[in-house]
Amino acid sequence: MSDFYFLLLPVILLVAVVVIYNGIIGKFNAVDRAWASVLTQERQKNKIIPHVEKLVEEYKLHESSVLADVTRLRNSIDELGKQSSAAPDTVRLAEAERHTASLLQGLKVAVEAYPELKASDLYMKLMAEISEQQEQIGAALRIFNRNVEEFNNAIQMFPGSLVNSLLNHKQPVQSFTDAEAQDGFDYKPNL
Amino acid sequence: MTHNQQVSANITRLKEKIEAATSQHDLVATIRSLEHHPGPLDYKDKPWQVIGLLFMGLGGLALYSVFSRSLPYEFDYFLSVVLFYSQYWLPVAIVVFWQLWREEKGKAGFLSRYFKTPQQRMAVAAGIPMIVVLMPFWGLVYWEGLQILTLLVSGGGFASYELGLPLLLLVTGGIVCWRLYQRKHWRRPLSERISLLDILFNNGLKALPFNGKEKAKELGQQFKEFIRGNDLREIQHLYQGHYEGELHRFDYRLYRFHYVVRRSETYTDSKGNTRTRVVRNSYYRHGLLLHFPFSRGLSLNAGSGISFSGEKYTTASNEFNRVFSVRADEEIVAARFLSPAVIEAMLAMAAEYSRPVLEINAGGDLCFAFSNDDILEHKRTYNLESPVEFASEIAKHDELEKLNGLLFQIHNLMRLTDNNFQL
Repeated sequence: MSDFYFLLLPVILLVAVVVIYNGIIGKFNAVDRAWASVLTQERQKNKIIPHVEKLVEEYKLHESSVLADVTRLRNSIDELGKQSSAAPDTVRLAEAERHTASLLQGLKVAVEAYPELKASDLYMKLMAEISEQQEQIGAALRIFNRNVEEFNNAIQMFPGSLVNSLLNHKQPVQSFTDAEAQDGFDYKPNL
Repeated sequence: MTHNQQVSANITRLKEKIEAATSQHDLVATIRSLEHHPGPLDYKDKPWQVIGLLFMGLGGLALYSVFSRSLPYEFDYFLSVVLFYSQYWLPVAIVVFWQLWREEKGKAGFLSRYFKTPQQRMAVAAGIPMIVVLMPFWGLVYWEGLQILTLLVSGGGFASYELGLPLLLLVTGGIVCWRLYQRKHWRRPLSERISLLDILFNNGLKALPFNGKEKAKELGQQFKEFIRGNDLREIQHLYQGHYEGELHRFDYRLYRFHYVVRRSETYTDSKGNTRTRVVRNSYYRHGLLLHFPFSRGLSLNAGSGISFSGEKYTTASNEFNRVFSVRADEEIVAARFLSPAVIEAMLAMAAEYSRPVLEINAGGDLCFAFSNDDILEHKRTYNLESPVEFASEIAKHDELEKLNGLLFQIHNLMRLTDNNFQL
């Protein structure tokens, strides 16, 4: 009987190692997928650009900064598409987010000069779409950060830390933080 | 008309007025009418209480006599005679009291078709069992019947006419006492009915006419949610409402679904024999039905008991994947529907509702179902026992916060899945 347990123990250990190893791989891939989802949502902004251009054309907003903001946003979305490494490029994403905020600001300024624009159907739909896209990106980032937390826990907590150091060799992933928003706080957590 | 018959007639009139109410104002007026009601509104049940207690007392004594056999000889002899002759007096007493009870309620039954006066009906109700108990076969039927009763109550464990008789007396006395308690407190269920009608008026809900089993069958052809259990399936409540959201407006139906799971259970009886018996467990589900034109052929299942067909889909969220199992006619349908914001919205709904299932069929109709039983919950402090306070309570506008919250969440799903440029 004791021989049976003696043989069973290594089998159980091997199964446990395989499960933990695969778990780490699975969680890493989930982080990768969640980041891809963030980028997909960011690229959805391409959808709004033709509508903004139509708005500029209809209401002759050529003298405003809206067109320049549109160009900058388009470029930053293109840059996101050229990302070469698999690691999340949070800097480029933050840049695209800044240009979105700038475009929104530009549209708000334009509305002040063109009151009829504010009441237009296209403007309202555009603002609803932009606001919804921002909501989607916020949600995608929260999902990404939750997956990052799960992955980091998996490789830093025992026994995952042991399996990772011996077999997986994965590095912790940084969760997404908005540097600009962080600058607004005096408090910085000592992480 | 006797006192109790007058009470029954007054309560019936009150119920009719409540059911005929078309607004909150009608309900309040009906409640206020009770303040100065000429009456009578309370039953005089002393004789019935005595009958109920007599039955229970006799049953208790008979049971005591079976197990202890320590009653004084004379008393025990007298009890044995009473119980022995129960084959004659008990059926007559039960039928006579039953008819008397129905006469009081104003529901004289089929006898009223042939006999016009209560005296005639009472005479017939007493006469028929008298003739039956004098038949030669009656003794056998009666005592065998008591044995079968113990067999049924014990789940096939034992059969004994000695125990069957006390059991019959206790059950009969218990039923009489329970019915007396119910009719003494007739105001409570009526108050609940008024509260429900009030909440329906306040929230723009309208009760729909339907046949419970047929409706469940019809819905079962549209949604898998209604193919639960292996026995009874029925819709118990069905209300229609309308929601005006910031972007979308829609009609919806709110339902309560009852289903039964039947299974065989093995047990060991008192003699150590292994037996099987059929056990039925009831379950209840609630939900919303509405048209959802922004997706079709999709199911998100965080419950158990049903499985959906179609292609399996997992999202980018580990948390969501642990809670929901997603199936769709085509993967692209699920990918389009489950945007990050929708994933978060669904996780919030899963945290709020028990075993939620969201199903959108091929026709674009949505069913969101869950096991929580509080969607129509409305707490009241007063009831018809204090009509003044109850009327003031009913006169207030009372929103169904949980239903409104759910409708808001469904509207949010619409907002997140529609096309803003095609609105």
